[in-house]
Amino acid sequence: MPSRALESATADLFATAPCPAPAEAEPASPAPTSVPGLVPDALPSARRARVRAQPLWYAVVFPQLEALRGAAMLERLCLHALKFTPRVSIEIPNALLLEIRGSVKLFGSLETLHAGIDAAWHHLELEVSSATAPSTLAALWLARAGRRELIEDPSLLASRLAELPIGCTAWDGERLRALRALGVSRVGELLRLPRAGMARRFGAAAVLELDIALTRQAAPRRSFVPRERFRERFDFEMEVETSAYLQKALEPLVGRCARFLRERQAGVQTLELRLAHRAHARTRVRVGLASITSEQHRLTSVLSQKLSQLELAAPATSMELVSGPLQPLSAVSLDVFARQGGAGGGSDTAPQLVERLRARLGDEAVYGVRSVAEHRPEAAWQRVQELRLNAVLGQPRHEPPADRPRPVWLLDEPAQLLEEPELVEEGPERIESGWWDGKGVARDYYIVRRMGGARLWVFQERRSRRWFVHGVFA
Amino acid sequence: MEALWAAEQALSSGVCAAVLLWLKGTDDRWLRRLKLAAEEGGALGVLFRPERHRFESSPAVLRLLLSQGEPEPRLSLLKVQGGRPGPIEPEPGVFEQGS
Repeated sequence: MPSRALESATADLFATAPCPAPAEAEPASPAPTSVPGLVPDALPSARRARVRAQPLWYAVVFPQLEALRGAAMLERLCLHALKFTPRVSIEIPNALLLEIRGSVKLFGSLETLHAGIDAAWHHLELEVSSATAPSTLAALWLARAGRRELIEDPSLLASRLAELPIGCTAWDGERLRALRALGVSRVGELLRLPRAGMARRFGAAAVLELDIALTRQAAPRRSFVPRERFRERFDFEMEVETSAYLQKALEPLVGRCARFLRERQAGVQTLELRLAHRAHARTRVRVGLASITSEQHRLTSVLSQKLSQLELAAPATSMELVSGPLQPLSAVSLDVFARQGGAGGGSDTAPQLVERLRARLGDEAVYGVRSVAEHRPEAAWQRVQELRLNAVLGQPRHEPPADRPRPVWLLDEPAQLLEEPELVEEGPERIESGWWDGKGVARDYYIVRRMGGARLWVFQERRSRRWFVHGVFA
Repeated sequence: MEALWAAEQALSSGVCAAVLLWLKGTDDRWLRRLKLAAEEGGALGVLFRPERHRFESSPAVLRLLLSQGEPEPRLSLLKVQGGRPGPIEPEPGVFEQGS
C-alpha cells in the first residue's frame, strides 16, 4: 500500500522541517518496500557510511507490564538490557529503548543482535514485541504495533511507518479521537496532514514527534538510566559511640558499594551515611566527591575524613550507606591524566586531593585560578570551582605583553597612599576600561621603588588624583 | 592549623609539583611533618615566615632570609645542606625580574 507517491508527498509537506533531512536529499534512492528486515547492501557506500553513523534504536514493549509494578519492573529489565548496550532508556509505562548502533558489529549483524536481545526477554518468560529503527519513536511505534521490523535506513522510515495505526503513537485518547474524526487512522495519513494546521490543532509537540520519528529532528534521550542507588544497612550488635569504630564497620559497606558500582559501569558523586540512634534524630553525613568515581579507596578516604570530624550526638544503633544517583563512569580518563601531573611517588590523584581538602575545609575553600583577557588587573583572573585540572591548564593563557610588567602579588584591595611616591621607575601605563559593568577604572600605573628595595605597583586614579598601591613585585 | 594540614595533604599527595605556604608561625613538630610529606610526595615545599623565626631551628634543606636593603633587597643563606651560610651577592638586576 505505501508507495513512492506517498513518500514524495510527505517530503514536500515536511520541507519546512527545522532540520534538513539528510535522507531526503537523494531522491534517487531505491525504496524497496517489499523487502522486510535489513537494508539492502546496494546502497551507495557514502550513504551507507552516513547511515552507519546514525544511532539505531531497538525498542521493546512489554504488553503485560502495565498491570504489574510498571516502573520498578522496567528498571530491573534495564539491567538485563545493559548486557547489550550501555545506552538504555526507559519509556514509561511499559517499554525500553536501547541504542544498539555500537553493538551491531560486536554481534555480527543487526539480525543476530536483535534476535539476541529478544531471546533475553523470552528467557525471562516475558511476552514482548520489538523493532529496530533509526529513531526512538519509529522503533517504539513499530514495536507497539507489534511489527518486528529492522530498519536501518532513515529514508525507508516514512513508508514503513505509513501502515501503522495511529494508536501506536500512544497519544492521548482525545487527540486520537479527533484525528480519527478527520479520517486519519494510519500514520501515513498523519504524515500527510499539513504541518501548520496540525501544529495549531494538536500542538507543536505532535508535529515534533513526527519529525523525531522520521529522524528529521534529533531527540535527545537521557541515556543509561539505571536509576538505582546503592543502599545498604548495617545494624550494630551493640550501640556504637566512637567514630573510629564506625569507620571500621563502614569498610565492608563501602566495599560492597564499590563493587555494586563497578558491576554497573557507574560511579557516584555523592554519598550519604545515615546513622540511626535510639532516642535521637538520625544523623546524616553527606559527602561530595570532586569527580564521579567507583573506586573503593577514594570513597573510603572521603568518608573517613568526614567521620573523623563527626561528633556523635548519641550512640548509633545502625548505619546505612546510600549512594547518590548513579552516573556513567566517563571520568575515568580524567584520573588517568591527572596522575601524569604528579611529581613524585604519592599514590593520589588530583581529584582525590581536592576531595580530601574540600571534605575538611568546605567546597568554597578550594578553587582553581584562571586568567581572563581583561585589562583591569583585578578582573583579569577568575576563580574556578570545577577542578577539571587538565581543562583548566590546557586553556590558552593570556599573558600580558612583556613590556607591561604585572606584579606577582596583587593586593585584594588597592591600598591608598597618603603621599605621592617619589622614586618612579617605570610608567605611566594607562588602564582605562570596564565602563560597561559599573566597575570602570581610569588609572595610570607606575612602578615605584620604596626604601629598602621593594618595588611596588602603584596607580593614580585619574579622576580623584589619589594614589594607591595595587601590587608588589619583589 | 587547617593551612598546615592542607599543605601536608598537598605535599604528600604526589599530585603537586610545589606547594607554597605563608604562615605567621608554627612549631617544630609541624615543620618536621611538612618535610616528611614533601619527601613522600616528591614535591617542593616553600614556607614563608616572618623574619623573627630566623634563629629557630628548622629541618628544612634550605633556608633563605630576604631582608630590606639599599638599593636592592638583601638575600642571605641561613642554612644550606652541604654548604656554608652567608650573604648572597645576587647579580645586579635579579630583583627586576619580578619573580
